[in-house]
Amino acid sequence: MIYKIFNTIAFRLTIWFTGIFTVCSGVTFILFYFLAIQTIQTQIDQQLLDNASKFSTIIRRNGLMGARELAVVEAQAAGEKVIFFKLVYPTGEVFASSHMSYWEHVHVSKHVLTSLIINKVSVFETVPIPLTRQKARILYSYVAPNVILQTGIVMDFYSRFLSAFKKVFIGAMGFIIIFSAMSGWLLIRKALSGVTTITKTAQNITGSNLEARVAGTGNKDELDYLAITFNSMLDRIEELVKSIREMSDNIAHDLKTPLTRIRGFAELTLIHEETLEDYRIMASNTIEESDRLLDMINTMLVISRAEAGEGDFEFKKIDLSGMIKGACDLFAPLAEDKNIRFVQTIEEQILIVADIKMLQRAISNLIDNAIKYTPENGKISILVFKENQQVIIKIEDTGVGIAPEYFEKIFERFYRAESSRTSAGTGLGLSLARTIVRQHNGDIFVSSRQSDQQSGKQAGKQADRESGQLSGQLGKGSIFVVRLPYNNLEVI
Amino acid sequence: MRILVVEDDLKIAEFIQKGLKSSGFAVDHAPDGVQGLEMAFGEPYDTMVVDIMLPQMDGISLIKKIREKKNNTPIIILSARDRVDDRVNGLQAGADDYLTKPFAFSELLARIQALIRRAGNVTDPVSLSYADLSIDMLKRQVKRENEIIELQPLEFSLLEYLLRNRERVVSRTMIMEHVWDYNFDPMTNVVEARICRLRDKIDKDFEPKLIHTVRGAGYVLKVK
Repeated sequence: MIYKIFNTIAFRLTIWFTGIFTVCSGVTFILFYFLAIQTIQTQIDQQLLDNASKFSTIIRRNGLMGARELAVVEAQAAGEKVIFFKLVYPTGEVFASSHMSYWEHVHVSKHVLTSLIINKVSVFETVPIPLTRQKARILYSYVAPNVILQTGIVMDFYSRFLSAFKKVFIGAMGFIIIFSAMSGWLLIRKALSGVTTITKTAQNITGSNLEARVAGTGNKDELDYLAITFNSMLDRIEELVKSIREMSDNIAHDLKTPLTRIRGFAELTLIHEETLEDYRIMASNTIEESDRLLDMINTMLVISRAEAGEGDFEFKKIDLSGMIKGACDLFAPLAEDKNIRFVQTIEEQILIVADIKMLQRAISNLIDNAIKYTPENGKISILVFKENQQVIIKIEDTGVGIAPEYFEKIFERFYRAESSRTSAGTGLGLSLARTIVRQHNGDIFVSSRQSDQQSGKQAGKQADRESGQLSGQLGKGSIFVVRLPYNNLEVI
Repeated sequence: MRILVVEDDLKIAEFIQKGLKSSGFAVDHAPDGVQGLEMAFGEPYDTMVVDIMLPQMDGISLIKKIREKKNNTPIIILSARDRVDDRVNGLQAGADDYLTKPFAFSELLARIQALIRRAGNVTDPVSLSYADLSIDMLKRQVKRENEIIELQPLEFSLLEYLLRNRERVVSRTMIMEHVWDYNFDPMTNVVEARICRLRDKIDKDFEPKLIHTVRGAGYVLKVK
């Protein structure tokens, strides 16, 4: 448990927070300390200089006798323990002083005196007062030619300040450390509480419960963005899971239907029918339905393997023009049966690297789709040409058309308008076509000749209600465009 | 003609045996690889049908062992594994053909006959005929009752395929593969449409009718 706390970001951040806070306040205190000491010392020095100038004035006015009196009086006035005055000849001989019993161990420093005589500049000196814990500030200054004043002040205020400062410093630092640690811990915990919420939400997410969302704080900070990102990720996952669920429902439905038909037909034949011909019909029906099932399963396998990047694709140099012509020939009789005009405009000798069997399937599915959705006496045109390093295969029909909101949907696996589920076809053809084309680094798009999107949508909805078709308006037609890269001859 | 079927699923083995016997073959069955190997060397077979997933010894090892002993009996693999890799492995081990399960029995039969024909070095005939129908492969000409019938190239290929497999049912998938070189069945009735046109030209004005639909199974060219 404790080990766990040591490992938390909150703990580590608190340590940092406290450390930085302590260092900063320590530095502040030290700077303040030096500034205060500086100020106090300047003040003391000024006082000493003032006294010195007083003495020089008195000496000029009243002679040395006046100075002698002044020394005694001034010391008595300020307190003889606080201040002293000594008048000295440059030789070091003291000729007058204030009451010195408290200051008897403070002597005239010979080398300070020498430096004063040479430089003629007043000299300050800080010395400890022997037998006490106090310090004194001493000034040596000429107050008259040949008269030097040595005066000192006890740095009593200074020491008191120092000890008070020490107390304040220790107290304040203690408070700062404890306060910063506690406030840091609380603040960081609060700031990171969003993370905890997200973690808890994530822990509650299961396959069946994807509805939980993190409550955003709304204050647009990083955690709010994390929450928003997390939620949108959950939205996407939920959507995917939903679509997978839908797809498996669709698969189950599409597999169950032929099985139901097979089983039902076989059962009925066993119960009621007796002639050999009845059994023959039942058997052939079973084969047809099984073939459909098998085709569906195989197509699903091709799609899912290709999407997983494990498709059995065999790329070779092929004649695309010839392949598409072949596919057109294959479907020509079907178009003829519906009296559909089948117009082919195919550029000759387009050679690309592709899996011919797979592309055959894709193109066949598209042509098959066009024939299925084009009414009798309609027209289908197939255009194949090169454009900007791409091969364009355009399949236009005059069929029912597709409303724009279905442009993407129709390529989804098993997608068919709900009410057209019962009609023939696996709902996999277009999905397979797109998968194959994408494996060739190309793509398929669909558009409808309906140019007015709004009316297309409305027409689509209406048609949806009425006939279950993905249609715009009848006779508007759809255009499937396949784009394949043309510059891939060198790939293999 | 004698055929060995090495297959562990007894129901599948049973219907293969039944089907081949009714087509005039003598059939032996081995339920696992080891027994299959023993039988392969015990008696000369004209063809072997071998499954890959077998108990005791898998089909690939079985085929390799047979080929190691310089036994060149034609072998067709029958397996549910449909990946290109699986096919390549099977053919490299020494099999002559590969058919995936589930399969149309007519296709298995056609493939077995093709293998036997190939092993016997039968050359392609220049002309084929059946009843009063005859086609000349060089002139690409079709006659019935000595009357020349004009056919489109695809229709000619279709008729040729039916005629080569006369009195034998060919499935839609087989037609797609051999006539159009497509390896899938578009489910939509492209084959049916083509057969209808061919029938119009071959059967409409003549008796007896030759091209028949076998519901669910495919088409057959024969005098009923």
